[in-house]
Amino acid sequence: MIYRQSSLVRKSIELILVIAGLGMIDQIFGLEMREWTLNPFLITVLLFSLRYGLTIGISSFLLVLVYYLVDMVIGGGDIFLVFYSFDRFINVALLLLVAVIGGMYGTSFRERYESLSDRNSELYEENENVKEVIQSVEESMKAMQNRVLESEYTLTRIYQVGKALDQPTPYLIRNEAIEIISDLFQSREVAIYHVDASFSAMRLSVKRGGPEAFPQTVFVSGEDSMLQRLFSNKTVTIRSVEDDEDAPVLAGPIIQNGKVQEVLIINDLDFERLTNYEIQILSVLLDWLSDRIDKSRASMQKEEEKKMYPGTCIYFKEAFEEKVIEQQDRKEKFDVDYSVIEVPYVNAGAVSKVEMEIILRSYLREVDIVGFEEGSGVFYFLLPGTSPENAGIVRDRLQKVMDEKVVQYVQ
Amino acid sequence: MKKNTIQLSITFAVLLIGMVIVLQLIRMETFQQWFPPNSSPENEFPVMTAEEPKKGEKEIRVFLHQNESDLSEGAIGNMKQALEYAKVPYEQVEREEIKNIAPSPYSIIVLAGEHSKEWPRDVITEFVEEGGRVMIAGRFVDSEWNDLLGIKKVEGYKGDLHGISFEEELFPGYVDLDASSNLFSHSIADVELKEEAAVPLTVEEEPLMWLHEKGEGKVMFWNSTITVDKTTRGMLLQSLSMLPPAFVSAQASIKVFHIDDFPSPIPFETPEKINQEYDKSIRDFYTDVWWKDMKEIGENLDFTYTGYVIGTYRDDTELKGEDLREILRYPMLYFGRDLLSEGGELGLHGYNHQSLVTPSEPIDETFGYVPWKNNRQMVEAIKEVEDVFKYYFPDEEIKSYVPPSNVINTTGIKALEQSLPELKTISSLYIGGDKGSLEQEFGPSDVKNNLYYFPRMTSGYAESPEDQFLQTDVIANFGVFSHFVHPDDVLDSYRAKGRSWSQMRSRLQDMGEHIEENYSYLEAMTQSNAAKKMKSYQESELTVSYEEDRIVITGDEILKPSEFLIRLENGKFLNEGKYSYGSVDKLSEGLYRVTVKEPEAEILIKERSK
Repeated sequence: MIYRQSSLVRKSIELILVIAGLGMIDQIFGLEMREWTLNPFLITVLLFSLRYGLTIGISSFLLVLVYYLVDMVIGGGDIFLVFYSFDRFINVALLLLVAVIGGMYGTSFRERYESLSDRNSELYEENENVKEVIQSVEESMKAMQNRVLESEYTLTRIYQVGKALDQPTPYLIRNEAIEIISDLFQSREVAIYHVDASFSAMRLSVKRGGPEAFPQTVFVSGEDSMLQRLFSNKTVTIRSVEDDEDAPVLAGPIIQNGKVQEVLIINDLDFERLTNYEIQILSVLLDWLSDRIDKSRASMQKEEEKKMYPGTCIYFKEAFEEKVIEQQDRKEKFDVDYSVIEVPYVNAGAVSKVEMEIILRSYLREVDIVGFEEGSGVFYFLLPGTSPENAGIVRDRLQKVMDEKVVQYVQ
Repeated sequence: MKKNTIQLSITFAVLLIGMVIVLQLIRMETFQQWFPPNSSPENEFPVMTAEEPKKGEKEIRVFLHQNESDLSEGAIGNMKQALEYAKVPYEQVEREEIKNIAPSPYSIIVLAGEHSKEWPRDVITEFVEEGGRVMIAGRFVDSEWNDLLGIKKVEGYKGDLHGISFEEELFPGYVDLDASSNLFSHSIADVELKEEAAVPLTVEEEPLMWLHEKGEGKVMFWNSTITVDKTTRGMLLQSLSMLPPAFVSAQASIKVFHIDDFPSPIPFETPEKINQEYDKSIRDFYTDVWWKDMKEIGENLDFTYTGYVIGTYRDDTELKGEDLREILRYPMLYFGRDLLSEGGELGLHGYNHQSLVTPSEPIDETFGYVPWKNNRQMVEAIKEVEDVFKYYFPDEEIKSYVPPSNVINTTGIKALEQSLPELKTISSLYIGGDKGSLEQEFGPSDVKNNLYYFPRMTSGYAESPEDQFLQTDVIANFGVFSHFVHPDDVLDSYRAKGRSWSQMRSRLQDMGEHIEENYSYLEAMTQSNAAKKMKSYQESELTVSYEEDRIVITGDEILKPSEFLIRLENGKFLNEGKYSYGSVDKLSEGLYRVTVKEPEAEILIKERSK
């Protein structure tokens, strides 16, 4: 790094101090430095001219010349002879020559340095830009490689996805689906909502994300809302600028029997990944998911019927408890609340279980599971997505229904 | 790069223009007037006077008895002059007065020549036996005096002996001269000395000077005729100082170095010798080599130069005004100004190098000089060169003059006095040279007493043992060194004695070192300052009182400081060091230099325990 001193005052003070100091030493000790072969004044002029360039170089020459003349006057010398005597004049001329050549070299060197320095700065900036470009290119290349060579959607991956979704129950399928979609779209907030038959509300089935990530219930309101577009178009729908701020970023329908039964919600989606191809993949995945849920549900239905009272969807107590355990797993895994309430039915046997189910189902959600223990005559209700605080309301309502409607019906 | 090129072009253009302007200014006549030359230093020499001279019970009393013969007159004359220069009091006595001289260790009778029969031998013998001192300053043969003089046997005269040998140091700096030396040609008494005679000086193994103690007194015998030469004054004084128990002599302490023909017109043709050795023109040789070396010698060996200007080397007076100025331009502006800036002085050597003598006045014809027609022609020529001098050095005055070839006569001296009112000193030779040369003593001119004579003792670069002897002798007498050289000695193979400049420079350095080592107390100065100091020295009066244990010196208008030589007999000494009156330095066994800064000095003498 070249020494830079832009202050002319500082340079001048430095020069004056050095020459004055040398002059004082010369005078005090009577060294007659002017006569030395290695004349310190000549070296001073050389150094200053090299360091600060032509202007300071010439200034140093003039200062030294003034000192020479003063020294001559003090020593009783004849100033005229400085100019008339060749050997003395040649000393002064040499001093001037050193100042000029040193100054020119210094100035030239500085200019060259500054030019190179500027060029270096430009190159550095260009280099930084190029680095950024290269980094982008590398990232792009990597993305391309991922997409083309190591794509999540290679046959192997698709096979893995299909295998993962090949679960015996809808519940497990949903769980796997959440994992797969979260992984594929690099999203931390993914959920599957169950849509009410009325399409006015959606209940949270499974989610991935923090406690505040998804509400338990989403009410579908407004004709132009994103969910309405989803229900009507039955395709993957992306939030537009006209949608509410709390609308999900992306929603995809899980269709069964031509109806949107469930909705996949993705909140923190990287838009860069959301290409037509991705949406297409997602659509396929959702179709696949629908199909798998549908089939597993049909398959499960046969299995489940064995765990229910005949002709009803009321589980035996033991089967009900298995459901509770499954729900407990979901809570631990996906942090989805659930509640279990017990409602004793004192007139058990007065009304058939089929009738009881018809009565109770009108007060329950589709996702709610009903169990009954014959011996104790207690109805059990598993309420997925319902917190224990809210479960009391449901129990009171059910108790009231059983106390009122069933009894009245019996009378 | 473009900026750089523009800067370079501007800088070099400015430099070129600047240098052209400077060179043109230098060529302008007025340029040198803008920077006036330095002035030659004018020293002041303060003096001091004691309240009253202290005359003690003992004083040195030197009684000179001169007979009518060249030997007696020459030797006694030399002794008289030596005593005057050394400020030692003396009295001239007739034969009849000798018997009245009371014997004392501080009373010295000086006799010389072959006049033993005329001298009262019995009176002198009694004088010595009772403690008096006698110096015979010129040899004679008289067997009746043998007993007094310490001679066992004398067998007539012996002549054509040369040289001198110092068996013991008489004064620092004296060198032995062998038999090939022509400085001294002795005629001696062929003697055999008694055992008890002490012989400090010999010549070709013969006793040249001895001391013989008789009774309570001492006799010194100079067994030679060389005492008539001026070149023995120092030896005479120093040998005289060996007689009394203590002896004080004064020193003027002056050192002058003259460069004749400097500045002077530089020859057009460069001698082959210079071309070959230095590959320089004669002007460049003088500038870059000779003058540079001379300045270095002057600085290192404490010489202050006085240069003497020559207007032209033509033997006519045709060159005048601007032409004369032009040929002196470079010598005056460069050498003249530089000499002044070195603290020197510029004097005059002449309008040309023709000695200021008329056809009727003597001069060595081999010089080939054209005699001046008359006083008027001399005056006009001197004024012409003075005009040139004043042109280049308007504030300087010509105070010193050296005659070309050291030859000048009454007409010339009067012409100088008429044309140069500020002239103070004429410096020629201390020892006579060629025919017509002006041999001088230090003091007022006998032609015009407002002019002062300050002669030079030696010359040249190749100092011989004889030159060194002569320099030492004058310093031993009264402490003055005055030497001159010519710049063109190096060009003249005869004057250069076949030596190159580097050899000549080396010999000159040897001389300077000898002077500086032995006589560092000599004060280097210009000629006009030297004359001023010498006059003051000579005008001062000195009283010296001798006691057993002290010497008291009181002065009237003596220089401040003053230098003295004190010699003590064996067994006595002075303590070296600084004192309230000055300082004491030992020069050799029994010889001290005392510097006195007070008009009255009491110098204590110590005695070695036996």
